[in-house]
Amino acid sequence: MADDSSKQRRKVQEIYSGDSDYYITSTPHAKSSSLTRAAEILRPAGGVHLDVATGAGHTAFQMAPACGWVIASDLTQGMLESTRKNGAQKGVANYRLLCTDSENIALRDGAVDSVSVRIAPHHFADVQKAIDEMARVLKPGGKLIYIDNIAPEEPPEAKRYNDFEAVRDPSHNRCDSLPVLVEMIENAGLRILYTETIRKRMDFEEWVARPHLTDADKADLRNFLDDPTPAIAYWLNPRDEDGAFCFDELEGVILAQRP
Amino acid sequence: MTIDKELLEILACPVSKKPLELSADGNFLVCKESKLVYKIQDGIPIMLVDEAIPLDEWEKSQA
Repeated sequence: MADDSSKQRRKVQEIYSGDSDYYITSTPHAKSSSLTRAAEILRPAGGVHLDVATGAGHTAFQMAPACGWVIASDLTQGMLESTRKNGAQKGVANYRLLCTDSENIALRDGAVDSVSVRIAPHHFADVQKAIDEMARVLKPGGKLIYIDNIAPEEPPEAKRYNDFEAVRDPSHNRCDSLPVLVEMIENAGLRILYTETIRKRMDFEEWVARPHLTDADKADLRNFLDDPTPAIAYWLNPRDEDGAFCFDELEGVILAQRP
Repeated sequence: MTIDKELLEILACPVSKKPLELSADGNFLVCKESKLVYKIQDGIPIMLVDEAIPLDEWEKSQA
């Protein structure tokens, strides 16, 4: 497991080191509705906030105005340079950068008042370990807002969906279903306060506009959406809309509290 | 760029989860428990076990 975890971490570091500025403007990361929902649902009120796997820092900076200060943390040092650029562009000052692995967070027990993680755990090698770490660094009464793409509940459909995502993003490890995520968060000793699901529209051409994708990869991804199983058709809802071919990704949103 | 004091107060070694000591030159964080040393680059603590320096090796380089 340790070897698999290290390999997955290296894969994430390689991909995100070379592509970090993309995430400053990437639509799902910078503009999706879950960005504002994260702060609306968590309602931070001062104190220290930790954003895990911050990427370009969008969620950290969304939380910052309501916090004493925030820690924007990421596994990839190059990504944190993009976080710094994004923070300067947004005029945010009350944040600190921390290069740390989500499965071995370099903070003391009970160090922070709240934690967020958004559209990132599907890259983690060991999601349960990362959630355990997020729970560990929370103060008693502190809250976690956990947001990630979710997979269908039926395992064969979840596998189809994860294989589809992995073609587009080689650092994609696994999306879980909402009930599985809830169970893992409860296993970490946190109490679930609230859940919701958000559909986000993905423009296919924008979604596949990644330098490493070949025309054959793009054709495979399009074929998957053109000929889906009934469950995938419901889950992704591929369609032509406003002159563009698009589909939906589903984000699970979970608010939990350390007792 | 030096490390922020508020952040330093809550940082821990990712292995031992124990507090860290800041080196005299302000460029490293030392964990005596796990015997690992972490670099600070541009004010960012690099708290990755894969990139940590063994304490004995670091002490020799500082001598």
